[in-house]
Amino acid sequence: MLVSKNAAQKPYKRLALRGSLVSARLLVLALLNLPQPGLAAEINPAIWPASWLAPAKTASELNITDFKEPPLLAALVENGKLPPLSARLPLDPMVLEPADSIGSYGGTARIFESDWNMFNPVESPLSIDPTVAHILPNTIKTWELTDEGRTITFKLRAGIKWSDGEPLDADDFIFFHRHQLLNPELSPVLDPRWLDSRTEKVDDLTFSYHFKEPFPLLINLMAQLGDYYVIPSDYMRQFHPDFVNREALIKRIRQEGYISWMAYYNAIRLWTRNQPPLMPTLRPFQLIKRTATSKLYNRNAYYAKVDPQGQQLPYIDKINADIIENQDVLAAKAATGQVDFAAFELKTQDFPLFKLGEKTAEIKVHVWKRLHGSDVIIEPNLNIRDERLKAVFQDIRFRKALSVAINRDEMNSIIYFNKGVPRQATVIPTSRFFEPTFASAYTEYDPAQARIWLDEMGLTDRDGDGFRDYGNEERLTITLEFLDFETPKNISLELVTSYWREVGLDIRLKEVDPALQTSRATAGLMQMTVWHADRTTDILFPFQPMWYVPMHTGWEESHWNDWATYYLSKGLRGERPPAEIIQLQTWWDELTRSTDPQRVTTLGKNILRSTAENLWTIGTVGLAPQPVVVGHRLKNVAVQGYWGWDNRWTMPYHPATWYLEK
Amino acid sequence: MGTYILKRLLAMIPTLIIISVIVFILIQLPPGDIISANLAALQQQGMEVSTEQIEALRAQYNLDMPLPLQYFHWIFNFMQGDMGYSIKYEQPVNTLIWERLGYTVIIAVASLLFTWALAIPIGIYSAVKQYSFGDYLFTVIGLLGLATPSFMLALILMYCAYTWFGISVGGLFSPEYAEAPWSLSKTADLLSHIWIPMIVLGTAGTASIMRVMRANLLDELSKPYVVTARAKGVRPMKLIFKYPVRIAINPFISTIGWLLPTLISGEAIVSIVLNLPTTGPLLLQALLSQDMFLAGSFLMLLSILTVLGMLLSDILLAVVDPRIRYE
Repeated sequence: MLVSKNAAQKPYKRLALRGSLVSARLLVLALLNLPQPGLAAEINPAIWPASWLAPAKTASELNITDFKEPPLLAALVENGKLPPLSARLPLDPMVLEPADSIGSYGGTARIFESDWNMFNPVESPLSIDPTVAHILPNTIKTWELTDEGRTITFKLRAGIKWSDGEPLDADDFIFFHRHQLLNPELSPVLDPRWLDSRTEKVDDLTFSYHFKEPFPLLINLMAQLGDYYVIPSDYMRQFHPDFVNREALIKRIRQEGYISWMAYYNAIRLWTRNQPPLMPTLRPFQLIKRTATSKLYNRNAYYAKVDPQGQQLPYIDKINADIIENQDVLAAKAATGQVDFAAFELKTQDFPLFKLGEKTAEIKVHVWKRLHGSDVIIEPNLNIRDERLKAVFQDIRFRKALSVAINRDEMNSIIYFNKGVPRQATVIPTSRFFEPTFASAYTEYDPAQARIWLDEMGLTDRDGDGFRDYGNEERLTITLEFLDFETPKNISLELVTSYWREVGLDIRLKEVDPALQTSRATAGLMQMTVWHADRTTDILFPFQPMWYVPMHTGWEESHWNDWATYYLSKGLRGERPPAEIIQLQTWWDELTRSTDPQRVTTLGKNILRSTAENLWTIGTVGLAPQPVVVGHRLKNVAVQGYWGWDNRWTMPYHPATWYLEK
Repeated sequence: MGTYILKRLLAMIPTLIIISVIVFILIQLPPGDIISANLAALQQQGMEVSTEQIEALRAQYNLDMPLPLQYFHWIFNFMQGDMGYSIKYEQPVNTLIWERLGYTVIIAVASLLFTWALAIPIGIYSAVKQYSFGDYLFTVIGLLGLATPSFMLALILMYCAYTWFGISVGGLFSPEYAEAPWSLSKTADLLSHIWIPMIVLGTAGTASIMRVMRANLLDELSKPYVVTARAKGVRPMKLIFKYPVRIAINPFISTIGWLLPTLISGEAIVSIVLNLPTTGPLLLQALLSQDMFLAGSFLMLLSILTVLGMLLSDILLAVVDPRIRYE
């Protein structure tokens, strides 16, 4: 009680800060007339074409027999520079339904280079549905798990070709596995799951992977990052010493200034090399030119999908992608309608700018939902070297007090214009692992209860300076180090620390740079840090539940490094975790190996329930609004969607069907 | 003169050796290296990288070698014209720098000409008409230019250019010309964009050059030879330009050498704001990400240009000013 009284003597600072933020927000709301809170965490699937939610139909299933090609390519065919459309398309191509209308051919789209993955989406062998809950066939038609998930067999769709006209076949997957993934020079250290793995070619279109341990999650990988597991083998052979003379290859590479054949190989593969020839692709567009200021893409003449009228996709002929290094310039260009599409580098805080742009320039800003369980996730370091602080952090009452002391509704209204969802960091509602309590646990704003818990712990204000102290009169001070990028971390933490100060906790903010974040987080030196809780869908949560299970160390999570290290090194290094943590790791181990869907769901829920009960990390506001700026002449962009790494941003929303209105 | 230049050239060698060692050490000083910075970028894209992988990656780029060995490896290649390999950009450093150098030189020369064309006449005017209304007016404008942060000016000009003239924000070309081959209209497009960086970069230097010119000239104007010439009836304009101005301009010639390094480093912040394809932002990125070879070779190049620039200044001074030549 004493504490709260003392803390209440210094509210002016906090009120001043909050006051200015609130008034700024009111101003923005008044200016823009933004709709008031819509707390729906899920997007209604009815806004997308129903066909997106199911495996794509093929032309024969839809009785499409007549295929058309863009005038640009028809001219090339006439000149004999390109084989006819029938030789380029598969016999029975997949059909993509556009979001709004059938498009017309032509035009050059203007985008930022940072959006190249969003405008020219990856062609992953398996695809993901718009709700980010299901895996759909794409270039791989069917898959089968046998031997309890130790053998996985894939069957490719027939007749798909790379942009150089070579067929996509089993060799392209096998080449990647044998000559890239298992090549000790190209992949110096292997993910343990792939140790002693084998690939086997059944026929031209059928191949299988064999693993020591069950690896059913390969299906998720094939969907989310599947474009990584296949490579145009006919083309890449010429850069690989398994197929060409090593000395000759190295000599050629030295002439171009590359440091090793691996660097050269990767430069070709990742399209970072300046001059053609460039690696063939399966995507709708192929990079053809790269300068210091821009990249130029042309349509892929062999793109293997058509629209419901049999027109070969994509509709757009070319992409001109400007390389912009400054985010403010980028936002200004987007807001003044100087590009047709922009999203990746746009910030939530710039919504007012884009809304203004809707009035003065020819743009529309769509509000997509970021795939973050929480835009800012707070990580008290449970393995901190300081024993006294460790005892505080490991006390559940402390973490609960931190959580209920945060006014999430106010954060949502100040930072996210009420378009986010106040919640703990957990999976998104469309996930099969989701339960409402996982998101709502200890999110009710209750500073009085927080004070009670902190008082109970003996963390009272002994010297009367308004801040809580350890048992002696030494103040409990926590340094929160953070890297301010991707999500609005700075402003979020300004608010969070002001809430915590109100219950008598002295939290100091310290911004760090990427190198420092990496080195200090991986060394476990940070008392507290924050990140954004991504990987919160059925696609990636089972694979990398890093916020909920100590199974990984990196720059993004620093709250239980020693326990994770113990697990990763099989007990050789790190510190033996308590039983409940070992239980989490055991559950996850089983989850990754299980082929029983019900068991997987149960295990996933167990893990998430543990986080909801124990608050290993503390969430703030999730499913935050992502601005997606679309120029008036660009059509068919979905009005809403989930924005994130889990679904490769736009992959489920089919940018190949976007077109430019004349 | 020949022996003088030769001596100066020889003296550069130890200077550059010391600079190269300092550059190398400075780049190694901060915690972490390009691999850990790269790692951060990989993780940002959702990739998982383990400690063992990091060590293996280090080995691929020779970063596991002892530091002295790394140094000799780098400097030996540098002397042969191979500036090394940028891990961040996954490209040879030579390629990266050359593709940006052309624009950098165009912008630097344009802004330099702008500065001089503006500052020297105004400086002369201010000195000749000391304490006149015009003198005060230009002084105020000049000091305003000096005090305004250049990136701020850049943003304001960009805004004005877009709202009034519809010129696209940032960059040197409109989108339709960016990839087009060089033509008359592309050159016109370049000229319609280059005035912003030219003014922004030029304004900052204008005020100081203006004031220096004014002060130097004032010193000269009160000297007896000027008074004598006036008394003998030399026409005022001819008098000023033939003698005092030539002397007053000396400080600029002595600093002309400093321009060489700025050709390369440029105004990084302005270039980033204006999105110019110059070398400045590249240097900044290299330093931020601790891209050893890119940053090191860059700094080495700057040092060499600085040292050469100083020599160039000294030679030019001797050529222009007979007094120095005869001393």
